[in-house]
Amino acid sequence: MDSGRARAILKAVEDRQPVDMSPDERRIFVGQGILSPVDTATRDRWLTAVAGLPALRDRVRELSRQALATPGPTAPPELQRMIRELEEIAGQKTSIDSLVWNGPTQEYVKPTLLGRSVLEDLSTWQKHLEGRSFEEVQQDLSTYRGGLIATIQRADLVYRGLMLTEQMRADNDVTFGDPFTTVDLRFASIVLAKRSLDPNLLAGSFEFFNMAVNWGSWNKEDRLVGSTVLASLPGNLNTVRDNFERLRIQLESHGILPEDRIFAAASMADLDPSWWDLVFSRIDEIHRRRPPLNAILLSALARSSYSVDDALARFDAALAGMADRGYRDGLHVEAAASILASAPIERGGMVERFALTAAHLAGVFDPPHAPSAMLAASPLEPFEAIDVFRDCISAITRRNFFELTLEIENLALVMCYGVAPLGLGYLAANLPPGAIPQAPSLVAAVPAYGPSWYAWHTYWVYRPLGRYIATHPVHVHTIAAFG
Amino acid sequence: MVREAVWVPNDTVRLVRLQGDLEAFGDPRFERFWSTHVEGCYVPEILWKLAPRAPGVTVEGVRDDNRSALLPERRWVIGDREFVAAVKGCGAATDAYENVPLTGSRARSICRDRRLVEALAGEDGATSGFITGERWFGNTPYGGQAPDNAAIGLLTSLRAHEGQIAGFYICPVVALVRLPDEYASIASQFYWYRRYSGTYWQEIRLMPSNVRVYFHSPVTFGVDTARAFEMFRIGSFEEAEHFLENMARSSVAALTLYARSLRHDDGRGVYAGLGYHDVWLDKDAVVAPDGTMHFADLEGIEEIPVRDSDGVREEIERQFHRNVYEAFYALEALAIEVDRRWRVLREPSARRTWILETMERACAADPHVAFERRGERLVLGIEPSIDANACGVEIEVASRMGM
Repeated sequence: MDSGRARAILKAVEDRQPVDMSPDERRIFVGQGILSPVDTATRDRWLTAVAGLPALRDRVRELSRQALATPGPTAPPELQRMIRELEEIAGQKTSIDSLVWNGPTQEYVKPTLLGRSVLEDLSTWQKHLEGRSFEEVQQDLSTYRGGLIATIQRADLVYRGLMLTEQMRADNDVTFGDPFTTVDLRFASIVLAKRSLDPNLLAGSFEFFNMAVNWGSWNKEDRLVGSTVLASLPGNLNTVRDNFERLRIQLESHGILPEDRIFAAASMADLDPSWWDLVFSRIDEIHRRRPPLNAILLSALARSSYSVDDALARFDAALAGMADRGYRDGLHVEAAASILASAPIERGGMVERFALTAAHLAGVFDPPHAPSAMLAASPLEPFEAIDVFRDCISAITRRNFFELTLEIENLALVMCYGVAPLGLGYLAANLPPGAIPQAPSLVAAVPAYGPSWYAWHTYWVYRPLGRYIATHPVHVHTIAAFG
Repeated sequence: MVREAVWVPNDTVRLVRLQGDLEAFGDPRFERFWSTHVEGCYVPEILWKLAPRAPGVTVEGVRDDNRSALLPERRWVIGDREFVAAVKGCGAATDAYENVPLTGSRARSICRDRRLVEALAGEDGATSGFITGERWFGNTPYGGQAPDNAAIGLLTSLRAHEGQIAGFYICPVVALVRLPDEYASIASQFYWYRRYSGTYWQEIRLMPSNVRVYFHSPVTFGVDTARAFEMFRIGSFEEAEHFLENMARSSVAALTLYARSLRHDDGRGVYAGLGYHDVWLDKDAVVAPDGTMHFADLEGIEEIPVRDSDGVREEIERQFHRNVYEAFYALEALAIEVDRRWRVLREPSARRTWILETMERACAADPHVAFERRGERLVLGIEPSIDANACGVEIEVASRMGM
């Protein structure tokens, strides 16, 4: 069955309009539990039962009153039977209202909850369904969602490895700054789980960078994002580490302040060294023209696929457009503008896309600007990106891969990078993040900024969250009041 | 099958259980539980050290709210639910005027007896909670419990059969126990401004969980719904729907408590039903692992007398509208989490429809309420336990179903 046809049928059922489903189409929908068939005899029986509902209800209420007045652990068997019957008929009453007549099979159908969900899927991904069969789309979505669950399972294995390492660390092991928390390690695990390597190797890589890089910083977030991004990159560990340290050293001579250097280097860690000179020259140029620009904003623009002129023009256009919509001033608005400006999306639609995602993320992230821009920067349509984000939330919650509720969206934002159904997962992320050094190619069709994404995330989302958690004990809700 | 009680991991509370010659009274139906499991008075360890140290046994509880502790080892089954014992009034964990722990050094700073100040010298870091003599919220000792409040709770609890009052589920009170005088006199030396005058009591109650709706738990259903799902082991949509049925049914019962507990007091010539006084569903009710909302702070539930049937109808409506937002907040939180996990209710209107239809179905057998659809509207008919024709009320629960 064509997926467009499937959508039209389900939409009609949802709108309670008669449908003309062929027996084959019916078989598919009913077989998968998307629609539930009701023959005319059953419907008539329901109607009769519903007509007797008031009398039955009165009888049950009378017996219930008597039972409540009589101390005892359970209701009498007759009352229990009548309650079951009453609940069943109450359900039938609700069902009757949603019945839709299907002429070709001479029966009624009603949508199931699964059916409503399938209709939402078909509506969300409608643009990409042309020429695809319904069965193919269903299979693809199922594989994609199964893949998200599998990613969480892998993340859990990585997490266990990281936890074990953290717990086994000897007192005399020298690390810079505070030890990692479970919240930190779940963030790292989600990023690393995207690589199809043995989870123990991934955990081992993380630990290698954690211990072998000369961080020169007591800031735990520096180590976290650095170790995570480096462990997410393919290649020889020593080479990756050496390149990272060379990047940091070179950034020093391009005006990046010491406190920003690890984040900036991490966001460029996937670049092949042959691209560094070009990116450094852009950093110098942007620095000269916009001296106050934060290093994270700067590195996003410098490594984008746009010339400096274009990148700054896009940045200004994003700022102006956001201001017109009431997003004014502040570093977080600038962060959002730099993410949008550096993304491979059409300049005229940048702010529109941002506004769409921000409407969904307001209250989910505080402030929502950078995360909204990150989703808006995706090659997917904004509502598609939101849908993927929610699928990631679903996978994380169903696998209980969190301790604090406020971790969930944070982890989902990391997880959703590069992920999509129907073969739309974007290249640079579906492969190991940063595996393909497309770097500032002139016509980048896809974003190649996996490390940038993780650096943005850590800087704009994770860091404030981590500080909130660190300063608010778990029993933050317990106050001395009534009770 | 008995559904096990659930509690939120939290700080350990070190208490000393005193038995022997104590003044206590309680619900005779729990006498066996009292005598075999919980009999005694539970004194914060730090307070016990300040007194002549009567023989006692150290007990480790789990902090619940500010002045209570759960005793998870002591459990009791009512119907098909397991409950754990909780002691209310066994010391406050937090300073009354700052959001900081009420440590030994903090207690020293409000102590009015030099000898006790000296005795506390080695207890700077102790955070087991403390019963103070500060007069708080009327006439209650901060960290303890006042006799009148405790008695109100017990009287309400005594009206329950099998843990419910005509479908309204409660956390039953087992017993009230008076803090021995030697401890009360010490506690009365610790206060910030106003000294409490009265006896000090504790309330031993039973709770199916300590997950509250929105406030006063380390995990609350409205804030940490995902954690609550994990704790209650809700692993499928079907389980979530069953949970919703129980939550909806018990919420509607809580919203119609006045009607279902209505009686006519022939002596005074008035109607009287149970009402909420300074207690709310968001902080004073807990959610059991099967979704049934249980009201915990019974000290705020008392009868409200009214003169005639007009007064009854007015009170039924007032009670419903005063509390309905909190109940629906919990139901919405549940539906939102269901959508987050299983993606089956993606539109807000679908969530609302699911909640209302489930509520309608779940309450089908409730003798005190009847949902009726009138066009797009969903109307709740409330029938009090007496004089239903004169005192019945209709309330609009939803103005437009499916929108």
